[in-house]
Amino acid sequence: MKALREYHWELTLCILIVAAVAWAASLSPFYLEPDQIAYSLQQSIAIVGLLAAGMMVIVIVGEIDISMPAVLAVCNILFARFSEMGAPVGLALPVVLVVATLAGAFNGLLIVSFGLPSLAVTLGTMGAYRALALLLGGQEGYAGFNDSYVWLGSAAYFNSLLPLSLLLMLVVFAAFAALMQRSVYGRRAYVVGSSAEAARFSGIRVGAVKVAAFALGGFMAGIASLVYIGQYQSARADNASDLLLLIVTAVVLGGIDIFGGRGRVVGVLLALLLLGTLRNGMGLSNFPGPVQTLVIGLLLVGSVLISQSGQRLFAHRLSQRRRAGATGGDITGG
Amino acid sequence: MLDRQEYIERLTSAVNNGGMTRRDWLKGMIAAGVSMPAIAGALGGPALAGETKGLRVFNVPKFTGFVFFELAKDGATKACDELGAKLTYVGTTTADVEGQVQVYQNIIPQRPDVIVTAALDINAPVPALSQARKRGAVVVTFDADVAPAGRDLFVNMAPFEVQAKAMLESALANAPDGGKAIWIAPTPTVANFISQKKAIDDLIAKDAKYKSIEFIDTLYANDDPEKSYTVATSAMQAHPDLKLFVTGSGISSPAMNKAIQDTGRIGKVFATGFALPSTMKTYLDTGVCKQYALWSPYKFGYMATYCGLLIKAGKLEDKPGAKVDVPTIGEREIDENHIANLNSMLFFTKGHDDFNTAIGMSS
Repeated sequence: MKALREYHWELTLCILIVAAVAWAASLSPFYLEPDQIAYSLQQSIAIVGLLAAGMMVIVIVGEIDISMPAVLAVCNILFARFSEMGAPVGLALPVVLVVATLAGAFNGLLIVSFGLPSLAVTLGTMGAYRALALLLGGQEGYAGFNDSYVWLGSAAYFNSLLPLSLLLMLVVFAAFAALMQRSVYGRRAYVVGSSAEAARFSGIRVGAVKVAAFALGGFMAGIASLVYIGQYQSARADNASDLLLLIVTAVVLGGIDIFGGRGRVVGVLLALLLLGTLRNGMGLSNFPGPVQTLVIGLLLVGSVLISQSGQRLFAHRLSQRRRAGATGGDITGG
Repeated sequence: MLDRQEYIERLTSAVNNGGMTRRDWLKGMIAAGVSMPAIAGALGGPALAGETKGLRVFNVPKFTGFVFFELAKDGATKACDELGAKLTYVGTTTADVEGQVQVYQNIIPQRPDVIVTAALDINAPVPALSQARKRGAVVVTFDADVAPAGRDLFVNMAPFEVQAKAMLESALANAPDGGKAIWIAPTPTVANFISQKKAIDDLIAKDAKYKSIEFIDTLYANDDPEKSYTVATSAMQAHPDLKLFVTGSGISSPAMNKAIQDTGRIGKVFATGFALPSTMKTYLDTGVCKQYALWSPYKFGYMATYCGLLIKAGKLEDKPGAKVDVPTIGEREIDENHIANLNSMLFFTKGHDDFNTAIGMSS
């Protein structure tokens, strides 16, 4: 019973996924084919999922980074330049990952050192990184990637039932679950997210925890970039400019509190599966574009309303009751 | 299950080869225990080759809601109606490359016969579109092409000399005696505009009719309305005897017309070339511009769909030199790059200011 209450959001997501699968299967006779499902999930959630994993940590520490798709675009262009020079992906990848991590960390440093709101800062750096991608890449696309570059994002095994990029996403989520739910860093991240002040009192270096989250976000944008190149086998400076809605929706629908400090990694993974299934079902039944965008947007708003304000309201009532019952301050980390 | 599938396929190929009547085929199908809906589907569907009837066409615009692609859809619908095919129109709301690729991916499991599309990127759709082709779909691009691996045929608006003729005809319709003209391009490197200008120069050199138009300069406005406005304003100050701006940019055209209007040079200077009707109606009404040109999106969609269906049905061989007679458009030839030209330009004048009323250019 306790587990049921504890994991009610994740259970709700599971039920919604089952419902979405049934709905998609009833809408389209083409849905229930395993390779179709695998291929579609790979295409619709692998890149978004890798970015959402990074975004999740940033949201948990109480911030947001809307420049992630722009960092991905910079990485795409860097991969293109390396490929053009004939460099092997083994050389390009470390360099790109370092650049991506620095780009993320730079966001974090600006926010932490000047105490600026992350939405404003990353809106600015989003423009700057996009401009950098344009400067490095120009308006023209690049498509001459050699096979080593496209392997990660395009390979599939077991009769194309297991796309490599989906497997990568699952591994990443397992690693992030371990990081956030089992490690010291994860514990600190939740404390920082629920109350930076309380974290500071208990001796946590709040700034370092936040910068690390942003750096990790940048790193994930670098990984996602290599998957992008495999999927689209091309790079252009305006790549991924419409992914933000999906990334944030996955994180919030996954039960991560948009104000930080709460939510579990597995929820985000389930939210991704739900989003992927819905998009697949709507796509196969040829829903008009505006309807598809509307559904995703409504999901974002709905999940914020239901999960967060519901929980918040609940927590508020609880703290009122506590305050009525207890004496003295009650600062709990979460 | 597989055996039965094979049996059905054999029967079907026999009827396609003419070795079996449809009646015998039907008997065979019933004997094999194929359900009536499935038989009905096969009868009207692609199982019977050589027919366009029942083929399923997917039309994917760059994005939905834009009048140009809605009209292209109407043309595609017309072609499907005439050939007994079924059209599905699906796309994203914004110019979203990843979203468009996702649309292609969701079409593939639906076993499309023909995909007619205007691509947002020359490269990114190629993996998905090649997959669709591998599974038997014929991919026809129009308006905006993809790399050759991703499509069977590209329907191009018109060769550059035809575009040049449409622009120069429009220039003379505005300024019958010609005069000094300036060519406006986005930047010095956009291939389209370089080729358009070269074709214009060639045509003026070749055809005495256009000799009165003298291009004195090329200016760059970056496909940006504000830049176009200021470039036009300062050019008119610098050249008091200027008569014409000509551009292939649908964004620069209305902005330059506004500059002419705002600086009180109506009737003295004209801005023409290519433009979108929605942005130009007001200038045609007030006489700032007397005529401009554009290709017909309706015929664009019609021809792309028509050719795609014919190729899929085996009635048109997609090879260099092959000729296709497209109803209301004429005979068109597939060139060595698997490109066929629509070649159908429209003129827009006062009272003929939208795609439905525009006047076709005689070739």
